[in-house]
Amino acid sequence: MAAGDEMSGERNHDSNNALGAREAIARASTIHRLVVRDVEKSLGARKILAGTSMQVGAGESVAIRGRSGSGKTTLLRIIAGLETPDAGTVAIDGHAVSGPGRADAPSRRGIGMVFQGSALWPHMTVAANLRFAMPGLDRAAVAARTSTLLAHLELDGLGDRYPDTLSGGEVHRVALARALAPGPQLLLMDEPLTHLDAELREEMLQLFERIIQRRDGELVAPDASVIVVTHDPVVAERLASRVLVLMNGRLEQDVPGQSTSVEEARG
Amino acid sequence: MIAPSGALRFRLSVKHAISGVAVLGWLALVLGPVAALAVETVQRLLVGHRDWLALAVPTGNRGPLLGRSVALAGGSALVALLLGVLAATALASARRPLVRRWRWAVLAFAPIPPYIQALAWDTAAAGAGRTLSRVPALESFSNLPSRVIEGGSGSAWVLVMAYLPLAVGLALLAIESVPADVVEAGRVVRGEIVVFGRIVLPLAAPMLFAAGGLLFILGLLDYSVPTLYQFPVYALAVFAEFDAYHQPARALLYAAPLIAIAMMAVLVTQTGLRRAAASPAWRLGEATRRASLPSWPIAFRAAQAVGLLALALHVVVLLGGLVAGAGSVRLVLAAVGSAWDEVVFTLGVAVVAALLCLPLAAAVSAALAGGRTSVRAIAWPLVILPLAVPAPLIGVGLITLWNRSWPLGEVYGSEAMPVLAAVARFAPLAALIVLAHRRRLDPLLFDAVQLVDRPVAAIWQVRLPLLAPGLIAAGAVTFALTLGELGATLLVAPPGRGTLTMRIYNYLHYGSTDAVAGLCLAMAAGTLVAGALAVGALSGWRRGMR
Repeated sequence: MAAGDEMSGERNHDSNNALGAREAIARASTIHRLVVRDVEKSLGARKILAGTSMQVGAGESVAIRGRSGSGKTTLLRIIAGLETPDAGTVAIDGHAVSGPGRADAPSRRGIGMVFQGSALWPHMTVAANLRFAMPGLDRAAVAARTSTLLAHLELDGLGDRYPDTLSGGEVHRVALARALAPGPQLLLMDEPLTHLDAELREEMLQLFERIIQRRDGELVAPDASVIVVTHDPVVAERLASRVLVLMNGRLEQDVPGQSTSVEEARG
Repeated sequence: MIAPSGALRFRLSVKHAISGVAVLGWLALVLGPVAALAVETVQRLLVGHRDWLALAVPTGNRGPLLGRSVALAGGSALVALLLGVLAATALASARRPLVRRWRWAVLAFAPIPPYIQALAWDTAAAGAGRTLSRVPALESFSNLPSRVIEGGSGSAWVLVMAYLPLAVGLALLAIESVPADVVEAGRVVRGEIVVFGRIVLPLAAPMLFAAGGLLFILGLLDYSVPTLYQFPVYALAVFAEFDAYHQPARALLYAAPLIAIAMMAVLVTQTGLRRAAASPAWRLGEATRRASLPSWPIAFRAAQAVGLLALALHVVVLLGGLVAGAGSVRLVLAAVGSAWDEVVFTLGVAVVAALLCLPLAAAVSAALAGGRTSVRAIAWPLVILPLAVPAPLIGVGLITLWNRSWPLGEVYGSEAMPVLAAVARFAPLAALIVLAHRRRLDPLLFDAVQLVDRPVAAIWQVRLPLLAPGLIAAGAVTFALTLGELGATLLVAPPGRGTLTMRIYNYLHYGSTDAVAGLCLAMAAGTLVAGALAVGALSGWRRGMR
């Protein structure tokens, strides 16, 4: 599925350029990329998510904020398929992927994910990390996309290096490159800028902003959606067009006037 | 540069003195027997026995004997590890809370001596034969089970089954040491089998390799099972060589090819052992979080079922075979009563050996964990190489070291000798267990306690409680292994005193009886309790880290 999306992203490349990124996003937003409905999750006796619902449009960038332990990461992991909800459903592109009696494997959801601790595969080089994330593509396409990702994420010359030889900023850039490698329709980011000093964090934020907002089809498809989980309001505002706050296991809308997705989903 | 205060100087000198005593203890008790043997051999070679050097080359029928021993150990280790990995993947991804909670309990079966398992399999094979003989259509196959459990095939089968719990436990440790987020990052882009093959296995490989090496060494140095099935192996030939000539130097030279292979296995797997002990998965934080549960494809689930079935078979045959062979509780009590002196002596030896191993293990693990790089480079081989020495050679080394005039001669022939044999054999393992536990603790906890100006309180109230789970596990494992120690004890037991193992092993050569099954059951029960204590301590600290 991920490979197919990657191909279709490349096929649409020319027309997307013509439309212009903003116009494409506006058109694509009319489709729901993700629908989360009444999701519940408990860890032991503690209820983490209590009927959480949200919708994300195609091409939309949404941030989920909340205090530590509020369930932000759990919600993201449920969307990714790394956790199973106790109740409720998750649908991606109109297909139920989690719900009663159904749990599609994460690799079948067409997602890319940036993990909190980067989670690069330590026994693979940078290039191998990217290649492993592109199943189903032929060798030439993999090589071309690897070069593109390395160039755009300022990782030229680092393809043969192992993760433990990289600086903190380089590790974060490789993690983003790997998440973008399969050309996902839904990009999930879990606290993508933690453990960085202020200067590097700002540098990385600018890079993430540029990559996510550009959506010219080369790295990110125009209709790809992004969900960022963060406790940092600055990161949320700069990477997302809509901010949701997770409180008491439910999502509340933080920025008014952008969308009514939460209410729609509950209805 | 600031000079240390008087109190600090005193504390440092006390610390160095304690470490010095422990290191000396290690050199004398663990390395001493082998060192004495080496010195004796060099002396003999220098005073006109140069022709003995030829013993170090496995010529004549010793070549095939060595090859057969390596094949038996290698094959058994490989099959046990393969089954162990399959069972471990199933246990690591079990959804039932009961299975998940008790998955480490399998390790409690690991210290049960292989020759006890041989008895259980013999009983099971005899039972299967009787059952087949009652069915007319299958009557002609009634000898088949006994024929399978004999000779080389019987030895291999029993060794695989005997090492399976250890293989499962080590594979479980290796697989669960792979950081959860690294596995999940793979799952986002690839299917379960690809993630297992390309991410989990490569990252677990050094530890799995070390596990395979350990199983290989155990199989290579064990002669108890092959002897029971009349399958000659090189480890027994070493024992026979000493028995025939009573020349320690000849025994060492005769054992040289076996030691060389075992040492190579230790050195090759050393990286894995060190990585296992230093794995970030032992430490605090995110690495202790387990990855979400995978959904394995049906074909892989079928393979896992084979591993689980083998494990279940092991437990059922071991307990069932011994219980059936023992007959009744009354007969077990009668058997234990008839060997009461041996039981008491064995328990005493095991308790003292375990207690003696603990300070050595604590001090040596501290050197391995926090010493300078150059110290660690020297310490590591000295800690793990004793694992490559065959048990009979440890016994011969102890005789060489202690069979002297006063004062050493006072120890020789005393009840301390079996204790020294157990310490020499199992202290390295105890040190590795304590080291693994140390690696799970935040080093800052030990740094913080140095700021407290109450050295005695710091030891009793902070250091010991922090190390307690590791020490308990190490003590319990040493106790359990000492209960079943045979190879070295057989040579150094004092006149008129024998351990329970010696009695059982002598009985075993005359076939399975109620008495021997009863003693084996009692021994297995004691080992299981000690093993469970070690696993309980392990599980306790694992939970405590979450």
